[in-house]
Amino acid sequence: MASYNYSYIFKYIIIGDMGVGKSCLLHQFTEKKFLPDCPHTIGVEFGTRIIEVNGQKIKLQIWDTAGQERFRAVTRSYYRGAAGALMVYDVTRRSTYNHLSSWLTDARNLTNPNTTIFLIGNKSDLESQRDVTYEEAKKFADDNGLTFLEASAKTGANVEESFIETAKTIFQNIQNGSLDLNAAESGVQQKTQPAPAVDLGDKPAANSGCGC
Amino acid sequence: MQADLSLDASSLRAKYEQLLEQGNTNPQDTSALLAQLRDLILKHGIPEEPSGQLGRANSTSCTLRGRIWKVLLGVQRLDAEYYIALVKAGKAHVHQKIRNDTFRTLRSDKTFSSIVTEAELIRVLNAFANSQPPPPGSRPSSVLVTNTPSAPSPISPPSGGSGNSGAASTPGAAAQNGGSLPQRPPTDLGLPNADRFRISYVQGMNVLLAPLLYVMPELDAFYCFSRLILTCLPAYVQPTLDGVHAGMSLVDKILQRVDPQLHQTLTKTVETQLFAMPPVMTLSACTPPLHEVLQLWDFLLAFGVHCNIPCVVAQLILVRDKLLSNEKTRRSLSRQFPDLDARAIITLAVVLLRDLPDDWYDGLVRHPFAPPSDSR
Repeated sequence: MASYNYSYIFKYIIIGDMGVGKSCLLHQFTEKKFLPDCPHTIGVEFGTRIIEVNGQKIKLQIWDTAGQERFRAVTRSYYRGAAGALMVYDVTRRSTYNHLSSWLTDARNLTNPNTTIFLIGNKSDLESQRDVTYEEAKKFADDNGLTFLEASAKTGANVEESFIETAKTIFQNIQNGSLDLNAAESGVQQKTQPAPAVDLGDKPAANSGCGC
Repeated sequence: MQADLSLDASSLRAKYEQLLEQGNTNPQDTSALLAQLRDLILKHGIPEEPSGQLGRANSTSCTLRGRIWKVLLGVQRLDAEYYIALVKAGKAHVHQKIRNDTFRTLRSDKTFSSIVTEAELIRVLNAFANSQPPPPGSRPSSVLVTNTPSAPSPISPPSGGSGNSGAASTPGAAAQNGGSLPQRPPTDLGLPNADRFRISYVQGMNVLLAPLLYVMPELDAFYCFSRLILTCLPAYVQPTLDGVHAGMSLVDKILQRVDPQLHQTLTKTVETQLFAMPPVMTLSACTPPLHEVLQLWDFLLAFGVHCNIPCVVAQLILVRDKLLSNEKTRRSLSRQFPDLDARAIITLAVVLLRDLPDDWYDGLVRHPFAPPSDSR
């Protein structure tokens, strides 16, 4: 609880269809617990956790959004200034995979061009009910310059990795200059300055396709 | 149940029974009886069942609370044939969305899941969706297309407290059963500009249905739910959630007025839109524990669902010291409010209501049913 000394704050959003497990992923990551009875999100929820990347403490500020269309007007306003976007589908429900392009359009239009978008195929523990293969999702990710992992909020598999890999990519982008911390809405704050948020900037997206 | 010491549970129950009986035998003039009913609820609350339980005893029994809620919601007639026809019409176009939410409806409350089955939630929500015209552009469910000569007509929004319930058999239901069920009465629009509302399933409806199913049978719950959605808070379930947004800005305005310090500190950490949406949208039913939700709903159904707004403000004020001193507590509000204490909340909410300027009060009363364009 005591570690308030972090160097950066990264803002994340979690998006995807209703019922894909967005809140469960957040809960697994922040509390290391699976909530089987996780109620559906109304509007937007919020979680934080401090992680370490390359010896730097980074506070992740994670906005968990409702998946149902009706809430999009509300949830869209939280896209602004996100440094990372976790886009989630359910490997046992093809419809949630088919909708990814619309989520991706939202994410691309409403966030900074340098926002790191990470694709998560959740519920990988339900192998027998699988409806979307790893290969096709991987291809979708590659075609669109996304990093991709299959994960399970239930078992915890790849949950840490998804959040932390995203942070590593963002951190790399800061270090190589493709993420301009002085621009507005970068989704990154440096702790020493009170609030000047940093922009992932007007520069071309140098970070697409990186990561694993 | 916290009640006036002068009235034990059984004599309080007898008083309610007497009022209900008087209303049943003299249905023409219930306004004085309703006033007494509201007064009794505010002062004494509603006692638990003689068994000591709060929920219904089985799937066909109705609790005293359920019977009182039906009176407060103006549900006077139940048409089982109509409900059966809606259920027979099968999966609504929003069935998948409904299924996505029903299994996680108040599942953390063990007493709830021991009384209300997921199947009941699914049936009522589908039947309600089937009772509404499908949204433009959506494909009607295949069941309706293939098996039903004509889909059941929408439930007319029931009239405000007059004798006829808006629910009745529909021509579609009659056709489907091949029988000659009575025609639905001419549409009786109990709410202004009813045609300006578009209502379908929205996340949160499952939570609004849950307390109803907990205290009354499925058929009764269907009618109470229809009434709650269509006459009490149609603006809350619009595609753009206008009523919910109006409600949240009222929470913000009222809190700022009554406790500027708390408002400032709180909204610096979390926007009102972030923490107020779940309790506004669900009439606080998303906040545990369920037995306190029931008592809060006694108050809301008796005095109007708009009263939930000052109740949300009251909940914040009741934990103001913690909210002021602890950022973590402030942040956690967006996930869940502190456990409900219905009596304390109602007591404070009544004071907040009393001190509201008239024009604010007017806007407060109207916001859950104001048609889309006038709601902000």
